[in-house]
Formats: sequence, C-alpha cells, structure tokens
Amino acid sequence: MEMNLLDLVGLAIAFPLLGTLILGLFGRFMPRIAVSIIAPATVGLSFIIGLITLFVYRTDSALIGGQPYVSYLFTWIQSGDFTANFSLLIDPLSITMMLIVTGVSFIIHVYSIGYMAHDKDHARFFAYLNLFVGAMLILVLASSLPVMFIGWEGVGLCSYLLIGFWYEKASANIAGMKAFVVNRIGDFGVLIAMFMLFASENFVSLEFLDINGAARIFGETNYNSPFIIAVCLFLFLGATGKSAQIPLYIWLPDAMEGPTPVSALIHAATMVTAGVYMLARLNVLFSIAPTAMLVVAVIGCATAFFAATIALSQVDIKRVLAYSTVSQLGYMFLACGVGAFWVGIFHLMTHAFFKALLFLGAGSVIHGMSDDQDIRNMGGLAKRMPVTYWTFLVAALAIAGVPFFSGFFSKDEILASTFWFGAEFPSGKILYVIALITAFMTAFYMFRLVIRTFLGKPVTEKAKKAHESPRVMTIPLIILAVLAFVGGYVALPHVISGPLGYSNPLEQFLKPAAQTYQISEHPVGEAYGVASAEYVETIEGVSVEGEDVIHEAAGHGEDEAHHPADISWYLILASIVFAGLGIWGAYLYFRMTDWAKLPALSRLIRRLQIVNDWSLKKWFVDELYQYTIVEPGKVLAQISLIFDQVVVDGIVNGTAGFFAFVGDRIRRFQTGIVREYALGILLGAVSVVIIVFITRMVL
Amino acid sequence: MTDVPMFYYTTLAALLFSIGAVGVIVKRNPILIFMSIELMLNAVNLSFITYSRYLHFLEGQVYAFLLITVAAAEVAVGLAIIVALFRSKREVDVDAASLMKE
Repeated sequence: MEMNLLDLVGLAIAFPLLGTLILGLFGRFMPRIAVSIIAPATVGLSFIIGLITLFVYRTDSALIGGQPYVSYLFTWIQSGDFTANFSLLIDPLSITMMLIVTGVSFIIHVYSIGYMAHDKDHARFFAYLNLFVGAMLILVLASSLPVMFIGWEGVGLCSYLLIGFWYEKASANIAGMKAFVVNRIGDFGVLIAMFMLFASENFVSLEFLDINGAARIFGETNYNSPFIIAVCLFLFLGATGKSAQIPLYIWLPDAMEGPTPVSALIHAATMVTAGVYMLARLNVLFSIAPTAMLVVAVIGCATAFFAATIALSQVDIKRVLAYSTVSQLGYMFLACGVGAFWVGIFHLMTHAFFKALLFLGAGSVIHGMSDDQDIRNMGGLAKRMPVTYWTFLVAALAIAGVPFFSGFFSKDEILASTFWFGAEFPSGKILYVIALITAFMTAFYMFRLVIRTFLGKPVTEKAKKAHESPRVMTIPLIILAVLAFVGGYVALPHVISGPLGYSNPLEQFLKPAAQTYQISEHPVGEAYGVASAEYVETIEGVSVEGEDVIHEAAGHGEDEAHHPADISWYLILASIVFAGLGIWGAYLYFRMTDWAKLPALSRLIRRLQIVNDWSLKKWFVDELYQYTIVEPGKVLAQISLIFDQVVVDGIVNGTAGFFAFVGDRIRRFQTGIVREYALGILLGAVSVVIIVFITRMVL
Repeated sequence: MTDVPMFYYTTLAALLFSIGAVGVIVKRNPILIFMSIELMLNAVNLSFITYSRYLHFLEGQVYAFLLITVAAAEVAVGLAIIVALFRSKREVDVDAASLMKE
C-alpha cells in the first residue's frame, strides 16, 4: 500500500486520545499550567492536521470531484467472511466535519483554561474533554458503521462523564444518567439498523462507501421498499437520540448541569451534530427511501417549532440556549429531510460558530454574575461586560438570521430548500410556513435574552457588581465572533453569488459527498451498467465512486437551474422580514414598561400568559414521559421483582428445601444403635433370599 | 459309615444361624454379640462342609478354611474395639456407643 500524506489523519485522532491518557493518569501530579497547555495543544495539533489534510486533499490530482480516500489503519474484527477494518474515510464531508470539530473544540479548550481556573479537578475535566474530541473525531472520520459506532458510543460516554462532572451535585448526576439512558435508546436504533444491513444480502459490507454503492444498485429495483425505510428510520432513531430531536430531545436541556464549556462543546461542535452527520454520510441510502426522508423532514420541522416555543419563556440563560440548540438541530434535519444534505452541514457549521459563541458568552455572564443563571436577576450587563456583550450580540444576530451574518445564509438556504421541496410536494409547503414562523420565534427569544441580560438597568446587586471575564476567556469569544460573522460567506445564495461571478465554494466542495442521489428513470440503462461494473470492483476492495459523477451531473442540472431568480429574492426577503419582526417584537415586548397605555395589548398578553406558563413548564413533556414511560417502567420493575422473588427464587429455594426435607427423613434411619442396624441387615438378607426364591419359582 | 441324611446337617446349620442372628439382635453386650456372630459363622461353615461332602465339591472345604481365618481376624479386631470402647466409656454397652447419631 503506497503511503499518502492523507494517512496522517490518524494522528488527528491519536493526539486527543494521548492527551486523555496523559492527563487522566498523571494530570493530578502535574502543575496546573502544564495541564492547561497539554489539553488545548493536543486539539490544536489535530486542527493543524485537519488543515494539512484539507490542503493535501485539494491539491491531490487523483482526488478531484469529491473522490473519497480510505486510510487503512488495522483490521479490527475478522470473523468468517465478515471483516471490519479500522480505517478512516477522507472526503469533503469528513474534512469539513473534522475542521469544525477540532477548530471549535480548540477555542473551547482555551476558554476552559479560564473558566475552570478555580476548579480543583481541572485535570480530570481536561482529560474528559480530550476524550470527547477524540471520540468525535473517530465518529466523523470512520469509514464504516461499526467504527463510527465506537465514536458514537464514545461521545455518549463522555457526555455522561462531563454532564455529571460535578458529581457532588445530585442534579448533575441525574442529568448525566438521563443523557446516557436517552442516548442508549437511540443507540439501539443504530444497532438494529446495522444488523439489518449486515443480514441483508444486498449490502456486502458495512463500509460507508459500500453501503452507498449498494444502495445505488438496490434502489433501482427496491426504491422506497419497506426494508430500506425501516433501516433508515432505525438510523434516524439513533440520530434523534444523539441530536436531540423529538421524541428523544429531553436529555439536552438537562445537560446544562455540566460546566458551561461542556455545554458549548456538546451543543456546538460535537455530539449533537453526530446525527446530522450520519444522515449526510448515508445520503444515498436515505435518498432511496423518500418516505423516511419525509419523516426526517417532518420531525425536524416539528422539533424546530416545538423547541422554539419552549425557548420563548425559559428564565435560565443556558436553558434558553439549550432549547435554541434543539430548535436549530431541527432545522438541520429539515434540510436533510428535504434532500439538501449539504445545506444541513452548512447550517451545522455556522451553528457551531454562533452557538459555541453564545454558550461561551453565557459562561462569561455566569462567571461575572457569580454563578447566577437566572436572566430575571440580570440586566444592564452591557456596560460592565462590553466584550461579552458585543460578541454575544453578533451571535444573536447570526442565529436570528439578520442579513450579512452567517446564520442568515445557512438558514435562508434551508428555508429556500424547504420551499422548493414544497413546490414539488404540495403539502410540504406547511413545512416552509412552520419553518418561517420558527425563524420569527428564534429572533424573538434570542433578543428577549439579549435585552433581559445586557440592556436596561441592573435588577440585582449581583448584576451591579458583575465584571468582565479574563482575557483567556474573551479572546476565544472574539475569534468565534469573527467566525460567526464571516462563516456564511463560504456559501452565498445562488441569486447573490451568480451575478457577482462568485462560485459557491462550500457547496461545490460538499455536494459530491453529500447530496440527494437522483434515481435514474431507466433502471436498465447505460448508467446502471456502469454502476454495477463499478460496484463489483467495490466488492473486491477497490472502493471507487466513479458513477457518482454521471448521476450527479444529470441530477444537478435540473436541480438548481430551474429556480427563478425573482422567487429566490422573495424567499430571502421573507426570511429577513420574519427575523426583523422577531427582533422588533422582542424589543417592543421587553422594553415596554408602561403597559397601561396599551390596554388591548395587555389584555392579549394576559391571555398569552397561560401559553407562557405552559411554555415555561416545557409543555409538560418531562411529566408526560414520567407518567407514560418511567412510572409504567417502575411498575414493570416491581412485577419483575415479585416474579423473581416468588417464581425464580421459589424454584431454587424449593429444590433446596425438598432435598433438605428428604434428607431429614432419611437421617432418622441412622439411630446409632447397632442392634437396629443388625436387624436391618438381617431383614435385608431375608428379603434378598425371598426375592431370589420368588423369581426362581416364577421363572 | 452310618447314613446321616444331609437334611439333619442343614437343619442344624439353619437353627444355629437363627440362634446366632437372634442373639446379635437382642443382646446389648458386645461380647455376647460376638459370640452370636461366631455361632452364625460356624453355622455357615457347617453348611459349606455339608454340601461339600454330599455333593462332592472340594471348593466348600476351601471356603470353610477361608471363613475360619476371616473369623479369627475379625475377632482380633472386634476385641480390640471392645477394649477401646470399655476404656472410654467404663462400660460395654453397644447402645451407649451412638455419639455419631446427631
């Protein structure tokens, strides 16, 4: 096997894991400064390797048009004719993910130095943090489902460890366990899907390239077949667990119990993006199951809307952000569901920037407020924490979708994709309308947060005494603010980029690896012949995705060119108007002091109060789960306990009791009196003689 | 040679055996039990010899010698046990030697 610079990518995983090893074993004995250098340095090195990988990949002439490169490390499982190689897949999608993960994680690591400066357990914290990054890199770089599952479980474990980091706190422990258990439900879905693919004769291996390759062939004859739909839905169940979608989103808001950098790491760069990534990675598989895609879109849209309604009224600064994350992830799934996989990844990237910024900003606020997280106690912090305020404002503008900020471009792309999906599929228009309303709510709750936290007058003494955070925390904020602003310019909408003669680098880069696979109209045509020939090669170990280009070229043409420019402009206008309305509404609502002047409005607001209460209580979903799942579970556990005690233990103890009883009876024969034994012997001898006589006579 | 029927010998052997058996069961003194056992062994010896003589089989006499030897050895061991029993209990009663019962 010839060496290639791309094989360096394995080191990107090795560095953070090495950091975990060093810090986990020896961190306790190291000076604080050494820990503070090693932990960010390992992630920084991984980021540099990511950049090198990007550069080498772009300049390698053999790898144009999104060709994947597989870097083989070692054979992990070899059993019968099943082989699982531990190898890494390098293509535009994994490089993009790798850069997002390592880049944002590095900034969060640096920030954590300041945030955890006074924590006695900072070595353990950084060891977990490094492990988290390592696991996430395994997840995004794995070339097959089983290897991805290592990372998948790894981030689940790390989330448990980090959410429950302050283990003296009972609520942190419970939140950690909740995250773990809810994630396990999703993991079960991924496992089932993996087993189904393994058992199917149409899918020869669990390598991503082979799955997508086989799906191309399989899709020709079994388009939207129940088997494919079931596999996709089980995979999506896993995605809902990891990426906090309905019905498994409940763990994420509680994950706020961990230190704030952990929230930023879980919510922005790692973990929650895993589900979106998996969908994009298995794009062909999902593309041949439109029913599953529709489910993804509907669930994503519903989650975006639902979580936004909850975020409207939460009073804990981190909880608002948590529900906002759930809502934004819903957007990403909506994008994937309507077939715009690369848009989902685009939003994932911009979201990673501004959501990390929001969480780190919130952490800075909490730091300045001496660990108070209730926004009702804040206000007027803008003067006291200027850097935090301005960076937070940038992030808020980005997430609200204000023009020229990154979130505007990615969200607009999602809304546009949803609209065009609705154009082909009439009832899909509902999705577009809901997504627009959600955009309005997003702007509203974000600016409610900004106004309550930073503007107005300080409400409490704590808020008056709030102070700006140290430089090690504010510089990461500034870097992220820059990224949150410019992050969108890598992929401008076509109506803007077209006239400017500016191509769309991210889309061009990602599309070959992550876009809807267009099934050909004529199954037995030329393309099919090519595809199967290539596929045979794939089986024999030469993974080539050459047929991609043929299909994609056909699909691409009809996809983009037909969208009229004026409608695109209206779409952009609509999203600007809704975002603006949200900000304006929040300003009106929360700056208003004299309610009496507007009696009609106040009556309306009073009526809205009941909605607000329900929203504050998170629509009682936790309670619903408590009574429909947890309580029946407890009853089932009780029944099992009784069954165990009565039936299982009964059988065991009954067997023992029976032999004890029989033994006790037999023991009575042993009187210890020799004459009785002698009588016994005699009677025995006599009976033997009698039996012999009787048998003699009978015979 | 007077003709004593075989029946007489076998009846005598059976009687001796029964007396010995009853003696083993009813007596509490180990020495008396031993004497009863000897009686039973000799009853068996007698029947061996009888059958050997009347049925012209030499094996019966061989067994008789074997039995005499075994009986002698058994008495030696048995008497030793009785002496040991007497030393620990200061009496010779087989019913008293029942400590293993519980």
